[in-house]
Parts: sequence; structure tokens; C-alpha cells
Amino acid sequence: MSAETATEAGAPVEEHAPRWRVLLSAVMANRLALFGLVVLGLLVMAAVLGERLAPYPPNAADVPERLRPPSLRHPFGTDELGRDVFSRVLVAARVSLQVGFIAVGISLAAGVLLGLIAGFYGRWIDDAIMRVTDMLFAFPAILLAIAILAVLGPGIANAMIAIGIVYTPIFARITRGSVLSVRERVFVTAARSLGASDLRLVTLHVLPNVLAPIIVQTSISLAFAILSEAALSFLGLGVQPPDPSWGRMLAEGRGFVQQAWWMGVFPGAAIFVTVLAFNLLGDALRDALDPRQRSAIESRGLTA
Amino acid sequence: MSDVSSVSAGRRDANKVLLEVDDLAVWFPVKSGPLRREKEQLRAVDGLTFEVRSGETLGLVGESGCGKSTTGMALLGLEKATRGRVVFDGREVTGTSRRQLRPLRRRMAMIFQDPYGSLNPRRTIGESVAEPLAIHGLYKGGQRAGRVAELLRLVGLSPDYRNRYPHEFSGGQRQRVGIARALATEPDFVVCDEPIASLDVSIQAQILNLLDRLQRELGLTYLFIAHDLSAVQHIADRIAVMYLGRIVELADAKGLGEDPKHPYTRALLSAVPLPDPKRERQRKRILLEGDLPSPLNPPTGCNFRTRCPDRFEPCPEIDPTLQKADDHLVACHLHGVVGEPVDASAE
Amino acid sequence: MTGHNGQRVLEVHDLQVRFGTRRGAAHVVNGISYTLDAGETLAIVGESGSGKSVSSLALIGLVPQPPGRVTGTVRFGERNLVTCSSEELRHVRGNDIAMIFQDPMTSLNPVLTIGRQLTEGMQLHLQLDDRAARRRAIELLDRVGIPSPDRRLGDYPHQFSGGMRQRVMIAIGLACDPVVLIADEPTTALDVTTQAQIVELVDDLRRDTGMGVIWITHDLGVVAGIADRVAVMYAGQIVETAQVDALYEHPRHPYTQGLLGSLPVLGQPERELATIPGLPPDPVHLPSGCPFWPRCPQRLDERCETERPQLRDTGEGNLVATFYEAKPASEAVS
Repeated sequence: MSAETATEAGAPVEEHAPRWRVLLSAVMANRLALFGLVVLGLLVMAAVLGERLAPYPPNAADVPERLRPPSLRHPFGTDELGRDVFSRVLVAARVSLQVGFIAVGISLAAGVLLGLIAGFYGRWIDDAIMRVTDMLFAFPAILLAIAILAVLGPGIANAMIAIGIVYTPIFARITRGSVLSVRERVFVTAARSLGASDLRLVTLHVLPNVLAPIIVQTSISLAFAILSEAALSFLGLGVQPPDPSWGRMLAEGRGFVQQAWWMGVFPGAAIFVTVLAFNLLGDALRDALDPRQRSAIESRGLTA
Repeated sequence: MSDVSSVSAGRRDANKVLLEVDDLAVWFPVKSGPLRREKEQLRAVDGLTFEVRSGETLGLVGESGCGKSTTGMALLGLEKATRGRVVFDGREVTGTSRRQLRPLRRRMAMIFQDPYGSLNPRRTIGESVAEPLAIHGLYKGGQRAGRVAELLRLVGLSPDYRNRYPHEFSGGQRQRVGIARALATEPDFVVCDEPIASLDVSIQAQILNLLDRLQRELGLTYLFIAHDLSAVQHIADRIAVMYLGRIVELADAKGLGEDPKHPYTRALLSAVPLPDPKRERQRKRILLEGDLPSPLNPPTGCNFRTRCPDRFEPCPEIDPTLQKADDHLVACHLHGVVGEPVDASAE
Repeated sequence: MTGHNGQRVLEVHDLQVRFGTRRGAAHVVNGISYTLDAGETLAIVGESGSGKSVSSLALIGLVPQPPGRVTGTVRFGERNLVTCSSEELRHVRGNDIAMIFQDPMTSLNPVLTIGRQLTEGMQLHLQLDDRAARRRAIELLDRVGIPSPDRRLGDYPHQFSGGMRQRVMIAIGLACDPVVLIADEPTTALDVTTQAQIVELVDDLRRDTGMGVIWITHDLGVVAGIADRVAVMYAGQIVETAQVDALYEHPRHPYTQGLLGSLPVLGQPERELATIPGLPPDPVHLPSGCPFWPRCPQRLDERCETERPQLRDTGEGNLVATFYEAKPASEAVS
């Protein structure tokens, strides 16, 4: 050890709050994103409490009360069997969120894994994976989901798998694209020069640096997955009667557009608000995670 | 290459050869043509032979595209050699599997040019410095934190900063972190790839002095890759000058600066700016003609001949090999026509 | 040294640039003053963060406002460029004052031929027709040393090497016979042999056209051979300025001395490299008093920490902003 002091090189240039706090404060500062966050919170509450929050059991028919317009007793009215639309919309939030999270979970796990392998190893593995995802991309999403369900049979679990498969290529592609650029960064070479294994390189050095676009895509995909579930249930391929789902309720309401507009409008509004919330959140995350936007002003001031 | 020993100026154990490079070549296949079907070979490194002795600093100098960085990567087995051998302390690096190479990795390290890119932005500097220890299973448990603190102190950083992230530090501080990481496993041999090129002048001197001090304290052997001859001359015992994938001249640092033998070395030296207005105004520069030829299709014979002010008849015909001229090794026909005739059927 | 005709073309007085950042106001340029004569080369030397580049961008209104704020005067002919309208500035830029940048790849548009990029300014500022502009473009490319210029007009930037691209940039800069050329580290991205060519080229052009050159660099070596005067910047201030010989022979500011002492010099490998401890200050939190005092080996008393030293004449031709001149110590480069 030499006589030189430990502060020979001086103190760090700047201090920074932890990443998640920066992210959270960025989202909080954005009013639209805050709206998304609040909606998401309400949805989670509805999904968890469900029946306990609903004024009526969602599947309880009350034929004399059928097709009542919104009133104090039935804020969203009743359907053709006299079931309370508000209770059904509330309880259906669970299905929507479940399908959203599980389906997106499937595509996230599969897509990121495939994207990491394709991007990191390149060559024929990359070609093989990317050709398959290109093929999946060539189908319209909903048609592909219908085709998969035709094979697996209708039902909520299969719908999740189908939606999961449909959205896998997007994650694979986004991950691969980011991996390709991160793979070339010097710190990956540096880790390699230290003798790091591929597993270590991928998990510690590549993956944490490709997360930003994946997080953004996740929140946007959640919106799409919920829409897909609604569409599949609308077609009778997802949630089976009598259980409520926004898509099913929309389908059932279709026959009563003239007599009972509330049967379709309220589930439709629920879908709209949920999808909007996830999209707003996704946009805010995109802005917050993009360092070029985050510190544009600061960096301009300092690069003299 | 035994005649090189007279050129030696090693500081410690000068006779022991730590690293031996024999006819090393690294070619990259490049797809070209309108359909990207034709394959050409980009000859980044094309037949290098030299050795690095224990305790010395060998400077590797050349302009961008001369293959000096690729050479550094190939020495550590990070680029595959197309041809030739690299032997580190009696053990072959070339053609060895990654698994077999791992024990050697502890003894060879690398410092990179870009202090902003060479540290993972998502990991604290403590984690980065500890990484080689984790990879090689050294300093287990509580000892590891102590080792990290020791390393940070060694490079002039306070151990209190171990939980900070790279973006909180300046370029020079990050370069110190990179040096601490390289030294974590107590290597014998360190490849310094342009370690000061992207730093400010006053910080460059700090890092040069640090590298110098660490070499003295830890008995390190350096390969110092740089484009800046004045910095290399300051730190190196011997200097090899590269042009288009070849070594054109190798000599001890002082001799190379005072009496360059190869026309390219002369041009390079004459272009280095001096912070002395009077001498600068009187200096005669040797300005090279044209641009660097493409390494996809290097000139036949001597590959410097297209820009050489002293070219003559044998240059396109005979490929010069390194030969002794005074205390230098020079690949130039001006110092006697020695080399392999160009095979007319090859090209 | 070169005999320039002495006509003043640019007068900068108390130029300041501030940027609003989330952490507070960044004081990037803090009141610099200098003059430039026709045919003269002024070198502005400083490390990154010294404000050297921003100060020259501010000259021609290229500092975005906001977040930037530029004050002071930049007298160019009849005009004060700081208060000019953007319309007037556009006329001055490229026409009277040209600028070349460090990275010729990013400052050339990759999808336009260099012929197009060369003639654009001429047609705008000189109202040349296509044929005349083309003729002039060929002349210019020839002048900056590009072989067979008529055939290269249709080429795109990526078809040129780094050095050649910088020559093209210089040709574009010269297109309208500028009075002042601002060269912002034009050789930093280039190899030494190419750097030597570009330095020589700009100096030749200056001699031929009589334009004034402001050469911004971090490298005291590069400008030693071509500068008439040198200004050393630190933390947004000029800390020392002098005729080139005086500055290198007897630097008087401790920072200038440190800078010269930390430079490895070819042919003097044994020389101990002096280091300046620590780091340049954060422009958001500039030290009070002299900005250099936290790193200064010369600091004598608390006056350094409270009062900002102004440039004053040492009697040897150096203007120095320090209370306590560094002695002509042995560390000073001989």
C-alpha cells in the first residue's frame, strides 16, 4: 500500500436516489399515469374482494327483476335473467386480471427466455427462433388464439395458454433486439475476460440491462391480453356460462341493445377503462425508463 | 526470436518469458457483395510474433484499424486465433476450451478503454470489483468485502463508495474501478487496452502514474495498447509498432523514439504533437499519402508500400519479415531485403 | 508566429452561459472575454466540463434557450450576436462564421451526397445557381485535398474515411468564405498522422484566406505549432491567456502548469508526470472564490476561497487569474 490517501481520486461526482424511487416519483409526477395506477388499484381490490364487495351474488337469477334499467338498487341495471350487472362486472374483474397476468406471465417467461437465447447465441439458434416467431407474427393475433383454442378446446385455462402463446413472439423480439446491443457492450466483454460463464453473463449482465423495454411491453401487453380474453369470451371460447366475464357480458348484451343498453355498455366501459389504465401506465414507464428523456436537460448542461 | 533479448529492458526477472506469441493471425469472415453471399476475410491481425517478459511493459502502438485491440483480445483467448499460437507461462491459450482456460483467467486480466462502457451500470462498483472473486470462488464469505475494500484503496478510491453505481463517478474514477477489478485475482499479466484514451489530460497522468505504481508494487507485466506514442513511451520498456495487422518495428522505448528505423514509425513519430511552440514550428512532418488500405484486401508484399515515401523495387514483390537492424527489429527492405517472395498465384 | 493584419473581427465580453437543471443552475461559462483578429489563430484549451465548447456554441447562438441562458456581448462587425434575432444569426452562421466539429460522421447527413451538402449553403447564402455551385464545390474539395473531387461529389459520407470526412466538413465550412472559423476539437476523433494533416490544412487555409480561427482543444500539444495566442479555460473561466511562446515557456497559473506537467512528452520518457489531484468542480456547485482552489498546490490563504481572482498582467505577456502566481518552478515544462 502506498502513502497516497484513499481519497486520491476524489468523491463520487453525483448522488442518486435508488432506481425504483426515481421510477415511482416519475410515475407519480405524471397525472395520467397516476390515474392508471389508481384504476389498477381499484381493479385489484375488486378482484381480491369480489363477491364480498358485490351487493348481490353474481350468478343469482331474479327473473321478476329482469332487464331493469340502472337504479339505486341496481346501479348498472339487471340482465335478461335479473342478475345484477354491477355485481357481475365487479366479480369479472378477477377473471380479466387473472387472464391478463397469467397469460402475460406465460408470454413474458417464454418470450424473454427465447429472446435471450436467440440474441445471446446468435447464429442458427437465432435464425430458428426468429423464423418461428415470424410465422406466429404473420397470423392476426385473435385468429391465432382461436386456432389454438380450437385444438385445446374452449375454457378459461386454455384461453390463458392461447393468449400466452400469441403474445410470446413480441417479448421474444423485443428481448432479442435489446440483447443484441447489450451483448456488444464492453462490460460484457469485461466479464467474459474474467472467466464468467454464459449463465452468469446472461443473468447478471445482459438481463438486467434489457429489462426496461420488457417492463414497458408487459404493461401494454396486459391491456391487449385483457382485450383478447374479452374477445374470446365474446365468441364463447373463453369463460363459460354462467360465470361472468366482461367479454361474455358484452356478447350477451348484444342481443338486448335496443331494450337494455346497460347490459353491454357497463362491461364495455370496464374493458375500456382497464385497457386505458394499462396503456397510460406503460407510456409513463417508457418515459421514466428512457434515460435520454429522464436526464436530457441535466446532461446537456454538463457536457461542456 | 532469441535475438530480441538484447533489446530487453525488463525490470524484474528480465530473462523469463511470460507470454509467447508465434505467427498469430485473427481473420474475421465478412459477408459482402450485393447478396451478401461472397465471403471475404478481414485480416485484423496477420502474423504477429513477439514475446512479453515477466515484469516488463510492452507497448503496442498503432493507429485505428491496425489490429492492436484484436491482438489484446486474442492473447486472452477472447478472440479466436485463425492461425498461430499464444503461450502463457508454458500453457497454450490458443485452441483451448473456455473451461480449460478458466484457471489461466485468474492470471491474465484486461483493462478497457471506455470507463463508461466497461462497468455494468446495474451493478454497484463493489459488486463489479468482487465479480472475479465470485467467478473464481476466491475470498469466500466475509473475507470478500475486506478484499474489495483493499482493492479500492489500492487504486485510490475510498471503500465507502462500494455501494455506489458507476454513473455516480467520473471517467477517471471508473477507470480506477476497472483497474481494481482487473487486479482482484492477483494476475501476473494485464492487457491495458487504451486505458487512458478517453480520459482528460490531467486524469490521464493520474492513471498512468497509478499503473506505474501498481506495476512496481505488485510486479505486474503489462501489454499497454495505445495510439498515443508519447504516453506509451512514458510507460513502456519496449514498443512494438503495428500497421495493418503486422508489427513493422519493435525496439526498446528510448531507441524507438530516438532512432526509428521503419518509415511508418518515422511518420508516426513526426506526427505526434509536442507541447513546445518553437520546436513545433520548425518540425518537418512526414505526411503519409492516401488512406489506410482495406484489411480485406491488403497490398501485396510490404503492406505499407502504398503510402511509403521510401518505397523501391522489392517492396511489392517480397513480403518483409522482422529482422534485426542495430538493436531494433524492423520489417522493411531498407534494412536489407529479407522476406518471402509474393506468391503470384495466391492473389 | 504569423503576421496577421490585425483587424479585429470578433470581440467577446463577459460571456456567460447558464443551464437550468433539476439540481439547480449549472454555471458552465462564467464571464469570459477575448478578441480575435483576422488571420489569427486563438486556441482555447481546457478539459471536458471547462465550458470551452459551450462558450463557442454560444457565440453563434447554438446554445438552446431554455434550458440555457446566455448573457454578455459578442461583437461581430456591427452586431451583438447575443441579442441578434434567430433570422440574423442564421445568416451569420455558415456564411460569416463557420464551425467544424469533432465528429465528422455525425455532423454530416448520412443520406445526402456530399455534393448536396456542400452546395446547400452556397445556394442559400451566395445565391449561386446549380452549375456555379457545383464548380465551387469541386474547387473546395480540391482545395482541402480530396483526390478526383468531381467524381466524389455524388458519394455519401460513409464512403469516406474519417480524415476525408473531416476534410469535407472543412470544405463545407469554407463554402461561403467565412471571416471566422470555429474548430471544435476537429482532430480528436482522428489518428495522429491524420490529425497532423488536418492541422496543417486548417493552418494553410487560414494563411490563404485571412480568416480568424478559434481552435478548441483539450490537447496543449496539438495547438502549439499553429496558435498565435492561447487561452486556458477552467470551470468556465479563462484562467490564463498569453502569446503562445509565453504560455508554454513560462506558464504562471498553477492549473496551466499542472496541465503542461501532466502531459507525457515524446522524447522525455523519464520525466515524472505531475498530477492535478481531485476532479474539476461540478458547475452546479462551483466553489466560492477561485474555482481552482480545492485542487491548487499554490493556495496560500483564505483569500483564494472567498474572492474570485481577475485576469491581470504579469508583466511578461501572460494574463493570469490568480492571486499567487506559480513560481517558474522546476515542474514547469522547459
